[in-house]
Amino acid sequence: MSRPKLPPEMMDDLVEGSVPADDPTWAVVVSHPDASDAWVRATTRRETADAHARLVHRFPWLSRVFLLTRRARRKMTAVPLALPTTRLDVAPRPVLGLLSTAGRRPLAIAVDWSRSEAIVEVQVGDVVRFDAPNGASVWYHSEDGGASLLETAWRVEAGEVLVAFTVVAADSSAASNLNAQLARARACTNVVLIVRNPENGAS
Amino acid sequence: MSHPDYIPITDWTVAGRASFYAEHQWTVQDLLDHSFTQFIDDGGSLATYGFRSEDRITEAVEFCVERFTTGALDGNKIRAEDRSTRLFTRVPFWLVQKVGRKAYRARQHRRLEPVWSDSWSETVPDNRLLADLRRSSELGVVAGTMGRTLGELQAKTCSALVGAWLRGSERWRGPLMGDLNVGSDRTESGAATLSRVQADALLRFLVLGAMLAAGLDANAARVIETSWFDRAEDASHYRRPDAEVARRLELPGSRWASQQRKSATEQLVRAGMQLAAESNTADLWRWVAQNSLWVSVCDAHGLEGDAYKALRTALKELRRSQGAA
Repeated sequence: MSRPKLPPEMMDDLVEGSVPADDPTWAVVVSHPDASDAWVRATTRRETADAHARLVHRFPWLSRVFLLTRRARRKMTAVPLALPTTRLDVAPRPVLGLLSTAGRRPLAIAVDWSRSEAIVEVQVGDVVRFDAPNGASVWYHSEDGGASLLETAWRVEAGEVLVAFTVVAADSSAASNLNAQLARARACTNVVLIVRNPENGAS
Repeated sequence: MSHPDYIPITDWTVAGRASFYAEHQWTVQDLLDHSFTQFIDDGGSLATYGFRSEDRITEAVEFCVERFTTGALDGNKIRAEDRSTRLFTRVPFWLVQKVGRKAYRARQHRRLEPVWSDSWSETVPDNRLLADLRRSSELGVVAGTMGRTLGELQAKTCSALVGAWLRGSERWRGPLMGDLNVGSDRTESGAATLSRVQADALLRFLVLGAMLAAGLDANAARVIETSWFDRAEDASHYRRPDAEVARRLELPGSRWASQQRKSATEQLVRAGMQLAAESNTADLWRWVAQNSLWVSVCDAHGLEGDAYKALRTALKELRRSQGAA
């Protein structure tokens, strides 16, 4: 007979160090077959929360994008995994001859519909190509605002520090704004590009 | 001291909290939403704590915001590192806020009831020491002793080391607890060696549980306590550097501290080996010692070269006798 899983809130308490050594919870943990994996999941939750906090504290406007997408995802009834995988291909391109592309390979980013966000590091001059399936639209966000992306590529310019994209899969054509598009979406996810050395693109 | 990744919250009055929220509302909501989403993704149940709407995460976030901006929260009763936006990543804190500490514990115990058993399984272990241990001890006592030691290890080291112990002990925790499923999928692949950090975690657990440091002289015991068991603020490192140990204990330099630590480590390993080889008493810590001493612990603590050749040979022999080398 398989045992019930250890509750994540209990594991979070243990990993945080907020449970005294003489608490009987520890006895449950040492005798549970899933304890090791449950501990890894709890420490990963902590690390992920810290990494997320670092990002949104540096770029507070991102929180609105993340919230919008996550809330929309919870209302979607389609099975995201059934959708075809969308690829974002990041191809390094020279910028006015200043950036050497020697030794750099194009980077392909697979959009994972099962996750609400993915974070990818790029460099100035990289060109992000969106190979979205039919019915998918891409929306970009920056500190100054955002809009639907009309072209199929985004070249990372000097001075850009971070750009976020919301990729939306819908049965109907693109709506005039992201809220409306999300309302009719079957799946959506965010891809965040963090630019390494944003001022000059030197690697 | 607040966590460097988070924004400190300094004014815990209702007005102060409301003002903080007004300034950081999107960040606060996002941190809560993100943490509750992870919680759900990992099998957590918000319904258990009374969030039962169609969108339970948004319901929970709204409760937390309401509670933070208007409720009675005493900043002095919140851990120093959580007096910041980190609080909005602490799912258990908000679940306690929702149902109260007592009900929170009761709900956890209800969920764990099917997990816990006070009696040994009917499967009789092949190992004689284990069979004797079962005859002389109750499962609850054994699990309680092991659990207290693991809690002590967490309090005195860091969560990474506890994770390493849980992984490293899988192959023998299952048979000990009467659950042969524990670690059964890893037993064959990882039979011959353990990683350094796992071997280190097993040794430290043994030292705490069997109180092996009591056999050290006072200076060596202080070095071990400071190097191994004095939880650091930065939980990512699992051993304090020798230079810092030397500084804290006002020892004559890091080299001296290093020599003291290595010498003490060898003494502890040998004490563990002696325990593993003791008479046929059905002692829990004898079983733990038999399974917790690995050659890779020498690598973890820099016990290398001719000076430690005999120790390494003895550890290899112990593993051979336990059928794992």
